[in-house]
Order: sequence, then C-alpha cells, then structure tokens
Amino acid sequence: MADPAHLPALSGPAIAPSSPFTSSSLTLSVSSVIAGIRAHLCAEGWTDAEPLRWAITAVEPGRGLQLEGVALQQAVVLQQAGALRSQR
Amino acid sequence: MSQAPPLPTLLLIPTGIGCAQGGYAGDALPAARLLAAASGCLITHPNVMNAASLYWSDRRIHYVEGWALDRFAAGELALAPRPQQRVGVLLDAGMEPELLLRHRQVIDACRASLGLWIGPILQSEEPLGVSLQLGESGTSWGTIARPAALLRAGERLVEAGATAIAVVARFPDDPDSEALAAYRAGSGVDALAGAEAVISHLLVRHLGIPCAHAPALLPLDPDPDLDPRAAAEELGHTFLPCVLVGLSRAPDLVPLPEAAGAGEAGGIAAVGKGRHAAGRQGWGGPAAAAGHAGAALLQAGQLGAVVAPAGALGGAAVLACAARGMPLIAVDNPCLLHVTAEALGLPAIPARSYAEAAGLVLALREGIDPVALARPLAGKR
Repeated sequence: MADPAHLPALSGPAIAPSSPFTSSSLTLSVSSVIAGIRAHLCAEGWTDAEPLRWAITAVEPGRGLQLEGVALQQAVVLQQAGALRSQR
Repeated sequence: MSQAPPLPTLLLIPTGIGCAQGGYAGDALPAARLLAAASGCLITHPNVMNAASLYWSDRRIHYVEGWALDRFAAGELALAPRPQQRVGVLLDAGMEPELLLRHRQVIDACRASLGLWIGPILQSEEPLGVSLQLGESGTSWGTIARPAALLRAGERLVEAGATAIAVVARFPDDPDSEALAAYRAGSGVDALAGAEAVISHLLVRHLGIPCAHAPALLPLDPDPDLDPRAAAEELGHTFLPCVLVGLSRAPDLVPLPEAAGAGEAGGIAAVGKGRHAAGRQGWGGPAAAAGHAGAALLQAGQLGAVVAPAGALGGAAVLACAARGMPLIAVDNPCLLHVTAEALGLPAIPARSYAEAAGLVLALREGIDPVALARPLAGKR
C-alpha cells in the first residue's frame, strides 16, 4: 500500500488538524451545538466550516458539554478530534 | 404479530464508541431484527446492519447512512423506499492487486448468487490515504488524505448511472496493535469505525444518494480466542458483501423542502415522480420535487420512537428527536460514553436490554402507555 504521507499533493479538499477549545455558549439543541462548533472553527481560521460528524462525548458538571467531531470547509476538510466544552 | 399499523422506529447505535452490543461486526443485527418485528418499520444505519460476509435483508428495515440519518431525524429529508438500487462500487487506488481481485470477486458473487444490480465499478484516481485516530474520549475517529479523489470518483459513478455507492478504502494494517487485540477479544473499540463514517458522510453529503463503506485489509492470523461478536469480519476476504446487500434496497434520500405537500405526521406522504438529480448541486434542487411523484415517503414526523444506548444520547439524531418530543428508549448497552438522559436532562424510557426495548416499542405501537407496564405504577396519586 502506498504511504499517503509521501504522495503528491492534490488540489481541492484536504485534511487539516485543529486544536481543542472551550466554549461557554452551548445549549442542548442541534442548532446551538452546530453554532458553537462553527464559532470555534471560525476562531481557528476555518470560516464557513460545516460540522460533518460530531457527538457530545461527555457531560461534566460545572464545565458543560464536551464534543468531538470532524468538520468540512468547502474545499478543505478539517479534523476536529479534540474537545469542545461549554457551560450549561 | 401485531395488527396495529407499523410504528416507524429509529434505532441508533453509534459507531466507534465500544458499545457492548453493536460495537463489533454487525452484532446488533439480532436486536435490529427484533425491533423491526416489534415496530413493523425500522430505520437504522450501516453500523447496525453490516457484518462483513454476513447480512440480513428485511423489507421492514431501512438502511440509511449516518449523515443522512441525522438529516432525516431533523426533518430535512425524507426516505423513499425502492425495490432496488444500482450500486456503483468505488475502489481505492491504494489497494494491492490481490485485494482488488478479492473485491471484484465479491462483486461477481453478489451478481451471480444474489442477483444484485451492481455497476459501474471504478478506482479512485489517487489513493485515498486513510488514517485512524482516537479522540479525547477514546472513541475512534479518522480522516482521509485525499477527499477530492473520493468525491471525484463518486461523481463519475453517478454520471455512469449509479444510484447508490459502495466505497472500499484501503485501511492501514496494524495486526500487532493492542487496540486490535482488544477488539478481537471483545473489549475494545472498533478503530476503523470513525474513518469509515467520515468517508461515507462525505460522499452522501456531496452526492445525496445512499452510500456505505467497507474497509479493505489484509487477512489476520486466526485467533482461537476470537470474540464471537468480532467473528463475522474473519469469515472471508472482504467486508463488502453486507454493504452491497444493504445498499441494494436502501431508500432514496429526498430533500424535504422539495418534497412539497408531504405530511409532517400521520400517514405516508406522496410527492413528485422519478428521482432527484445526484450531485451536490442537485441535492435539494427542483429535480428532487419531481423525483418521487406517487412514491411513499417516510418522514421524521411519522417516527413513533427512537432507541439508543443509554450512555450515547448526545448525537444529532437523538437530540433532534428529543426536541420533537418523541419517545426515547434508552437501552442499557455499555460503551465508552456516559452521556445519559439524566446528564442531559432529557426524558427517556429506560430499557435493560433490546428485548425489553422491543417490548416497549410494541407497547407504543399498540397504544399502551409503557408506564402501565411497570410496578410500582409511576405517578400514582
């Protein structure tokens, strides 16, 4: 199998890493969570990024919701494997 | 058998979170079959139904990829059951010749022995470059280096006539890893699952047609202590047969704004005629409205219950259903997560097993208040 790390770059979508972040604005609704993820991604420079796959992976008393997921930005796919927390 | 009308029920068992039931190789299939019998209409996703060389085809079960399932639950798209799909197959250019041959022979076998309508078949222009990761919670995630190659190949398949797409991506072999050993022993997380979901989500989002994924891996040495729940993945040379069977009768995905006139609740709605145009631009375009005239559509407003692991209630589909006030049956199915109804403040009906959940679904279908089945009677004055 070819090693993807040594393949020539393609134009178009690509995967990029993203750092974990904390938010204090989420409530328990799909629209709120998506808005929170979008805001986080925007703050990291990924404007107009769209969450592709996400889930609340923990509920921490006093700290809020922890989320993990992957987002897509038009021509760029953005990996968000870290944590997103919000106060509830 | 119940004489009551079917109660469309959503069964969710998220992939890659180590569920004791449904966290392995299609090992939630018995639960899905029972829930299909209890409800008369079950909507679920490939992680529940895919058991590599094993599969179960039941017309009461609707096979819907996870990205589409979230949109269905949110009321953004409807499902249009159909007797067959023409399944295009997208093979990763990163596969070795022998693996490629094995997969082509599965396709031949499914044509010859099952009569499935398969084709066209093509390879991606570049290796997809799958890599695997674990999230902070320990759940599996992953990514691909070349999503453009995936999406371009998908577009070519649709242009060539495919109405559904099976993707086979070359996954990294790691036969000596602790994670794989734990998975085969029945105590670990499916490390492949997160990347699989990303691949199928990307394609469904882009093309608007049913898609599902099978990983391509080199065979493992036999393990005498293999957990039965993981055994289905070691019966053959590929994981493709279940995907081809599942997609062969998967429902079409119909964007709801174009499904004009479709009822929100109650009976089956009928709209447009034909199929919507594939491709991201056609996804929700006017062709969709004209795409299913006279077709019976299944919509989120018709759902009567959602069944999910008690510790994994933090997904988009569950939250959308809960917001609609739909009965949520939370099944004791241990996993890595502890995102419970209590923690989230959601109302839920607890079930100790999928057998109990099936009984609750049947009660709802028959118009019996589940509260009346327990003692002491809750809410007694």
